[in-house]
Amino acid sequence: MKENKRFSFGPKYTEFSMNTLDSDKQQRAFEISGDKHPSKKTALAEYKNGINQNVPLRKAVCLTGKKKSGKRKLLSCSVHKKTSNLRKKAKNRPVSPAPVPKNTSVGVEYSSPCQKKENKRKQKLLVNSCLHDRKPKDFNKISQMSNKAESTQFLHPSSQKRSPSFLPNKEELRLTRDRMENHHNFDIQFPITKAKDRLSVEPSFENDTYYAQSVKARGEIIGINSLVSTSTIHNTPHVSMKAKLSQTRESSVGQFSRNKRLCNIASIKDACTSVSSQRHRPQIKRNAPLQKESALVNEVYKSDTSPNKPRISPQISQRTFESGRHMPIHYRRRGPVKIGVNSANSSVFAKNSNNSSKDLSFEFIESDAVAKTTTANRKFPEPIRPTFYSKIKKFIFKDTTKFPCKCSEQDQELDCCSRAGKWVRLIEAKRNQRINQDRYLEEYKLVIDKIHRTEQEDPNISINTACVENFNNDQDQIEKDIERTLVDDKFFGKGKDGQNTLRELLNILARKDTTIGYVQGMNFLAAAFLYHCSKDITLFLLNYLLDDLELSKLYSACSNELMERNNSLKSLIYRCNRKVYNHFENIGLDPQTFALEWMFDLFSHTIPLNFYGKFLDNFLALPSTNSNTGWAYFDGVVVSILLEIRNEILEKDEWDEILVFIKDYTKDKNLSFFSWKINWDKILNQAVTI
Amino acid sequence: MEKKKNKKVFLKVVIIGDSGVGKTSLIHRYTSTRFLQDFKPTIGAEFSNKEVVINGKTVVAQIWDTAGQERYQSLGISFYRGADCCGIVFDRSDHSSFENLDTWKNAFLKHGAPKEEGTFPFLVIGNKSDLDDGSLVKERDAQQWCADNGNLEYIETSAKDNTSVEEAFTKLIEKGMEREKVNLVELPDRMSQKNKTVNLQRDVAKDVNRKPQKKKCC
Repeated sequence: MKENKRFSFGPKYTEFSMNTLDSDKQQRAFEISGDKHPSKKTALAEYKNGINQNVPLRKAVCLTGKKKSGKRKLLSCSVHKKTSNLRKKAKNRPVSPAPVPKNTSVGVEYSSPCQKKENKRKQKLLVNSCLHDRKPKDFNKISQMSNKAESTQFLHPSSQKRSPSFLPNKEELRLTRDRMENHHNFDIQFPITKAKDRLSVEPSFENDTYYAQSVKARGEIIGINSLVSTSTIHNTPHVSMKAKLSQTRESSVGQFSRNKRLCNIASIKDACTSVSSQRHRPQIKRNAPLQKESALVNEVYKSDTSPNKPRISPQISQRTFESGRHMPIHYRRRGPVKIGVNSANSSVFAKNSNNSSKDLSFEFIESDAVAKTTTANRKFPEPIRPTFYSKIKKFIFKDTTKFPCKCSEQDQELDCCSRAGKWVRLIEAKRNQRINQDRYLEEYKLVIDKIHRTEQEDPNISINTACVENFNNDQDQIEKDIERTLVDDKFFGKGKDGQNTLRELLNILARKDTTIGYVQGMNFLAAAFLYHCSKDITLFLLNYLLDDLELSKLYSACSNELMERNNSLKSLIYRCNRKVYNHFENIGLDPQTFALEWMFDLFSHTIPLNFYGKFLDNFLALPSTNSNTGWAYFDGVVVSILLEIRNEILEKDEWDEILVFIKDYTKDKNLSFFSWKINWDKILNQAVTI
Repeated sequence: MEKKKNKKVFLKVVIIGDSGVGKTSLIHRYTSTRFLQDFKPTIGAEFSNKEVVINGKTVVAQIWDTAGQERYQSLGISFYRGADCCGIVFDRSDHSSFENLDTWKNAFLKHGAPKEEGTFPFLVIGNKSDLDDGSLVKERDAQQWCADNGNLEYIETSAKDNTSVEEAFTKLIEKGMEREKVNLVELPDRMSQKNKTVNLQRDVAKDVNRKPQKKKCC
C-alpha cells in the first residue's frame, strides 16, 4: 500500500475516507455516467426538497482503487443496476478471470475544479436518489422471514461480547461456512427486530464476522450493493465508508473462488444465481422517504424527553434503523439488515481482506471507531480525532441539571436557581419576550444540531484547511483548560459532571462563531454560569453576554474593543479619583495592563464563585440606557478596587510594584476561604454607586 | 534607600511558550518556591519580581509570564519590548510544543525587536521532565534544535520536582546580565531619565488639574 490519504471535506468532522492508490485519480471514485439516469430530475427535486425541509442529506460513497480495477463498473452496478454484464460473465466463467475492456474510461472528463465539484454532487444525488426513490415492497415479509428463530440462533452464537483479538475464531469460521453452504446465502438474514435492538446496544462482534463472510460469499456485486446501501443511509452521520478494491484486474468472483479458505465454489455459484434471479425493479415513490425522515427528526426531538435514554443517542440509532426501511428491497435481502455499521466491523474486515489479499474488501468505519483501528496500527498512520458530536453525544441526552450554587431554592419555571432565573427574566424583559424553559432547551439542541450538520456538511461548500486547523487547536486548548478550570471545586473536579458539561459548552462556544473560536476566559465564565444554572440556560446567558454585551468583540482579535474598554476605564478613573489617574499617567501605567484579565473573564476567576452571582446580578441586568450598561458596572468594580487601595497605589512609584500589589490584593494566593484580603461584598456594592 | 536602588540591576525576563507547558508553574516555583497544584490558564500576562544576588550584584528580575494561547499573543507583544533575556519553554511530554519553538522564537524576535537579533540571549527550557514514560522529547533532539538555531542553551527542568528550576533562571539572568554589560552605558541614562520624567510630568499634571477648572468656569 503506497499511501493512505484521508480527505475531510470542510471542518474536520466528516470523514469520507478514501483509500487512494492513485491520488490524482481519486475523482474516478465518483465517476458515474449520470446523464443517462432516468430519475435525475427527481433526484434534484428531492435534493431541493430536502434542503427546504431541513433534512440533512449527507452521504458519500467512495470507491477507490487502481486504474481499471473495476470501480466504476461496481458503482454503476450498485447504482444503476446495470449488473447484467458482470453477471453474465460471472455466470459463464465463474472461475476464470474476466478481462476488463481497455477503454473503460470515464463518462466525464474533469477539466476544471468547478466541474469536478459538480460531478461530485451529481454522483451524490444519484446515489441518494437510487436509495431513497424506492420503497420496499414487502417489508413485512422480510421481517417475518427473518424472525425465524433459526437465523437468530446462529447469528448470536455466543453472548455478544467482543473477543479480545479482532480475528474470528476458527470455530466460528467453520460454523459460518457450513451455514453458508446450507442456506445458500440467500436465506440468511438478520432479523430486523434484532437489528433494531442491537443498534441501540453494543456492537456485536460475531455478527460482524459473519457479515463479512456472507458478503464475500455473495460475490462482489451484492457486496457493493449492500455496501452502498449501508453507507449511504440517511443520517447515519458517523458511518464513513471505505471501499477498497483490489489491484488485480481479474474478476473478483474468480478470485474469490480460489480462496477456498472461506467458502467453496458451490456457495458462490449459488450466490451468483441468486443475484441473477432477482431482477425486479422496485416502485419509485418520490419524497416519501424524505417526509418520513423529517417526521422522524421531529420525533427524535420529542423522544428526547423520555426518561429511559439509550447511551447511544436515539437520534442516530433510530434514524439509521428507520432509514433501512426505505432501502430498496433487494438490497436488504442480500445485504443483511445490518444498518448501523458497527465499529468492530472494520477491523474484522481488514483482517479478512488481508488474509485473502486478492479479494474485494470493504471497510465500514464508524468515524469514532477509526481512531480505534488506527491504534490497532492498521491502515491509517495518523490518528483521527473523534468528532465533536461523537465526543459529546454521550452527554447531550443525559441531564445534568444539578447546579451546585447555594443561592436559594430552584426556580419554579426554569432549570436554574432563582437568582439565575432573575437574570433570565430581566434579559427577556429587555427583549420584550417571555421566559420559556422549553425554548432554551430547544435552542440548545438546535445549536448542537447545527454544529452537527456542519460536521457532516456538503463537501461542495469548502475545504478550508485553516478552519480545520483552528478547530483542532481549539479542541486541544479546551482539553487543556478544562483540566485547570476550578479543579478544586466539587462540581468541576476531575471526571465530575460539571467538567463534562463544561466541555460540551465550550465546544459549542468554540464552534458558534468560528471567527472567534475558543478564547481563554470563556472557560471561567461558562463555569461561573454553570454554577447557577443548567447548560441550556447557560448558553442563553452566554449568548446574551457575547452578542448583546459585545463580549465577542473583545474576544475577536480584529477589533479595538480592548482600546475602547481601556479608554472608558481611564475616563472613569479620571472622574472618580484624579490623584490615582495622575499617578498612573506619571508612571505610564495603562489600566489595561492589570484589567486585561478581568475583561476577558469578567472577574469570574478573580471573584470567588459565591460572590460572583452578585457581580452578575448587576452586570447582566442593570436597567439599561445603552447597550454597554454591563460594562459601566464592570468599570465601576475596577475603580472601586482601585479606590480601596488608592493609598497604597499612591505610595508606590514603580508601576511594576503597583501591578504586583493589585495582583496580590485581588487574588487569594493561599486558596483558602478566609484569606481574601479584599472585601468583595463591599466593593461590589460600592461599584453600583459609581 | 536611594543609594541601594542605584546599585540594583533591573532585568526583564520574558517567558514564552505554548499553552499549558508550565510557564506559570515554573515561575511560581522560582519566585515562591512552591508548586501550584491548582493552576489556571494565564490570561494576558502576569509578572512577578524576584531579587537575586548574582556575582555579588543584587539583581531585580522582573519575570514576565505570558499567555500561551494564540489569541493573547497579539496582546503579549507589548510585553516583549525591552526584554533583556527570554526563556522559551516547551513541554517535554508534548511534542507539538517542541515543534512550535521555532514560531515562538521568531515571534519574539519580530515583535520584541531586540537590537542584536543573532546574539540575543535565549534559553530553551524543557519542562515536565518528571513525566517519564519513555515518550518524552529526547535531549538529543532538543540540543540539535538549539544548535541549529544559533547555539542556544538548553536545560531540562521540572517545576513539580523542582529539578534545576533555580539553575534555569540563574542562567537566564546571568545571560541577561552579560547582555546588560554591553549596554552598560545606557544604565545611568535610564536612572537619570526617571528624574527628568518626573519633572516633566509634574507640569503635565498641573495642566491636567487646570483643565477641569476651566470647565467649571463655563
